[in-house]
Amino acid sequence: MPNEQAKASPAAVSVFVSREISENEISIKSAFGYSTDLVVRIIRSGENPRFSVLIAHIDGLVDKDLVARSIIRPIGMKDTATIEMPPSPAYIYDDLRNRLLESSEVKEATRMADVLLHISSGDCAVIVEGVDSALICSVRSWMTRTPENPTTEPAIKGPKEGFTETIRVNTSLLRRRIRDPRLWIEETVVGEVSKTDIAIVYLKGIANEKVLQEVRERIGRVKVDSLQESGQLEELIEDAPWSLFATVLTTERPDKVAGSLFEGRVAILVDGSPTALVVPATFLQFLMATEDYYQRFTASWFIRLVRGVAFLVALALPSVYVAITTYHQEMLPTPLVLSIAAQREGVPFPAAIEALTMIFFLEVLLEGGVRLPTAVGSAISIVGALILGQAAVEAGLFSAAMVIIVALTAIASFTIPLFSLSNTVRILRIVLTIVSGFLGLFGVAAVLFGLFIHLAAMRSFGIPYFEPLAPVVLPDLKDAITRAPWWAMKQRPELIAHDNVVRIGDDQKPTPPRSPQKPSPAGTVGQQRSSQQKQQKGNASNPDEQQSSSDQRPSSLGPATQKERQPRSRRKSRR
Amino acid sequence: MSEAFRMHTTARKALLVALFVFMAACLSGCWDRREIEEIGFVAGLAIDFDSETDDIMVTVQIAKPFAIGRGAPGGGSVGERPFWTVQAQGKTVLDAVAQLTQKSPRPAVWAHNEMVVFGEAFARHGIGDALDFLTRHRESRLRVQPLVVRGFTAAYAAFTTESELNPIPSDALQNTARAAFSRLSITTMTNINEVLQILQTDGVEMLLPAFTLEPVSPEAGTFEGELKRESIAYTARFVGSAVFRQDKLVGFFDLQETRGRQWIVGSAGRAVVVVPHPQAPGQEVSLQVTTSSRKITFHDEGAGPSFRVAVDATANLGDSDSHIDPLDPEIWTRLEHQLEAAIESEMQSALRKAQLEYSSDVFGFGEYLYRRHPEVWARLGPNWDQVFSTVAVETSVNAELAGPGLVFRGARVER
Repeated sequence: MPNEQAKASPAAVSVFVSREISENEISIKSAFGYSTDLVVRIIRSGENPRFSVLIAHIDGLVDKDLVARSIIRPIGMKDTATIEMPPSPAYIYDDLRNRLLESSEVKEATRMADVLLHISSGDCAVIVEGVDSALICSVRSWMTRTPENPTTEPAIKGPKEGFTETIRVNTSLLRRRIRDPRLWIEETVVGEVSKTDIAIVYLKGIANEKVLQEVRERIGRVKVDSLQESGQLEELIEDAPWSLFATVLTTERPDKVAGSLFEGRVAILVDGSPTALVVPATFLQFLMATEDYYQRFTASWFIRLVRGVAFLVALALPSVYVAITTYHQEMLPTPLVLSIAAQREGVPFPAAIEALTMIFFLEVLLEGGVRLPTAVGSAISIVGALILGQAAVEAGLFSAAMVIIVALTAIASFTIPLFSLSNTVRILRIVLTIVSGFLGLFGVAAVLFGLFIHLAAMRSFGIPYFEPLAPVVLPDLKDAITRAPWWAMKQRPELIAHDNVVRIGDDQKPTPPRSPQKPSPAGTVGQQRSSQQKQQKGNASNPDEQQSSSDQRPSSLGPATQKERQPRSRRKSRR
Repeated sequence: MSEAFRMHTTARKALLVALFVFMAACLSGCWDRREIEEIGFVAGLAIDFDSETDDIMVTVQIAKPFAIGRGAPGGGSVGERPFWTVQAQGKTVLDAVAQLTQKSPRPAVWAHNEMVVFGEAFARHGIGDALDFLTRHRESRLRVQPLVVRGFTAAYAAFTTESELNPIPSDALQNTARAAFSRLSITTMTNINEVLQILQTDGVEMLLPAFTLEPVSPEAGTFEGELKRESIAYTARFVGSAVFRQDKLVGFFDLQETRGRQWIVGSAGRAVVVVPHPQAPGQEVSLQVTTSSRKITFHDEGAGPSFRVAVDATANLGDSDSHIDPLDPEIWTRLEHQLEAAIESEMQSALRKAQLEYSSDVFGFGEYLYRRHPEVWARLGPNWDQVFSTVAVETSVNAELAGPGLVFRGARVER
């Protein structure tokens, strides 16, 4: 795979690894422009004959102890005296590769570009004089952040670990959650210069092959010189590049990615970015928090409804207020209309201008809060909210009602779990307010209508963006605006994982045992370990049953097994 | 080159569309925009007839939000009424309303108007013009409540009233009317919509709530522009209802007659009926009627057409001047009979007055015929006004005293 990027190397460097060690030294050093963090060392070892070995690595990307212990020391201890014949360079090379180098991963490279790539990736290159091939030892070790509570998606109940900037850590976080070989990780490199590692992660047998192929193709199309964050990649592979709505889900939470994989989605990890991309994404996913799946469904059901209403409030409240107070005063109850009129008495601006000004300064306040260091950040809320808000009303520049409306809007927009959607809402809110100032509720309705048409027309990696609302997919409505209990969500999203839709077995609804002797039916053994396990334990009526079920777990009962047993007939019978 | 050219044209098209939308928005402007604080919300309308000039006088009460709202900085000094009352005269109601525009800095908005008060003189002259204005007007609502002022004074004096509990006169009048209607059944509740239906239906006449203004200060009924708290001249009291024939006022029902009519049409809610004490002479017992229903039947044999109205009423013992024993069945029965007699006399007095004095079928007997006995209506309908005055109406009441309230014996007061 790295070979494709080989052309990007400087032209002055020789194409292949040379037999002459000094030539290689010059090649490597000049390729890096004699950068100071490049370490190139030539070790002369052995007695008869003396042979030279070149070691090259980047300081800071390798574990120096490991280099000394597992590469330099074995080379130095190479005792050629015990061998009768003077060993050839090829012999030494093989001996090093097969026996001496105490590195868990040793690769070979003949092209100089590959060697350079490995060196910049944090590997150590070992070149034996007289051999036109290099040994690449994996001794990568650099400063990494430990997984921390994801700051953008905090959860009260649920795992407190988030992705880090290191792709290997991130894939390991996923492996920890899905201990099954069917978790497949495809790695590729994007970025002509940055050569950023990209991992396409999916569950073989659940993920939709067409989506997967589309992901591969779109990533393959990307030709950029550098990739610093997954957000860059998102813009390069998304479906609707001009839309205000994101068609790629981004998350920092490994549990969310794992859950998405079980829904048949595909995750894309980018080295150097703590944010994973998940495709295909649907609109309603942007209103779902991970916690919705961990709380009891009654709470999730209610909270999702609250969030849905808050979304509408965050989107349309200022515009509806402006429309009603300037065009449709008859729609308000008399006491309210008089109260608002009283508050607006003496306010110098039309309601639309007042609303837009307030919204603008709210945005300034938010942006200021993000940019300021946390130590100063609290000052902005005091200055902004308390002093400006109160003073503006007392001075008669703004009406108290408008301050309340904009504040409500701001609070409502904080409930949107995903930042990309709340950014969309921030922009649309302003558009709606401007239109409502011109056209009243008619304008608001027209814009919202257009918005719905747009949402219903979009697709994300082949999946309708507004699914399951448009088109209506009845089984998927269980996990849409609200959520059904886990034991009722028997299927994965139908359009996404349509080859393997059965998620859990029958009879998952826990019931108290009728009589202590009766064992629970054998078919209730869990198909999805990560989420069903707990329920299962609570459900099992006697300890032996529970024991046997956990014994069976590793061998079978993965999602693919389930597929073989059930899906087609079930799907037919449903229709 | 062609690629670049195509990009260029798409970009230009997009720009053109954006420009078009922008210009459409800007040129049409904020067509109907009315800032909420620049509107005069009409809170009440009074219509009087000026017999000297033969003009219609319209008095409009416009809200002063800054004097109501608590949020207003610097507004609402004590003593200032939250309304501006303004008058204008004209040949028609709309003509007079149009004259208001010459005086009011804020355009009148009728959407929040809840009440129209007719002066007695105007009502006798006919309220058709006013109803026409209120139904044709784009903003005015059909739920506006028509009221009639009974007595000497002009309708606009209603705006010089104030309830201590409610600073908005129209609101106060409405709530009072509602309570008088539902708790005592001594007035009616209606709105423009129902009035229009009645006017367009043969065989039924309208009955509007009527109130009178009781002077509380000597300099009654004069005001100029601002009304201060000190110049409040009247309090309003509901005194029954106003009887119309077509759109013209013909007379009034007092409280009992109004309630008599309510028993007959079956819209009586709760009521308090005072009857003589069955044992102690000169003492009274009040009974609270909780539910009632009525059944009308029509008979057309023998001595001409006749109606029978049978009323069922359920009541509770409310209070008594002197001791009463609810466990004594004889007393119980006598109380029930007395309640029946009281209700029947109310019905009879309403019928007498409507038939003989006003010849106005406010009970809707004609409509009943039209619906149930169309063949009879075909015969009698064309001159129903005369027929109604002579038609016989038999009344019967069956009252049931359900209980003695929360206690049996109550306060033992011996006199």
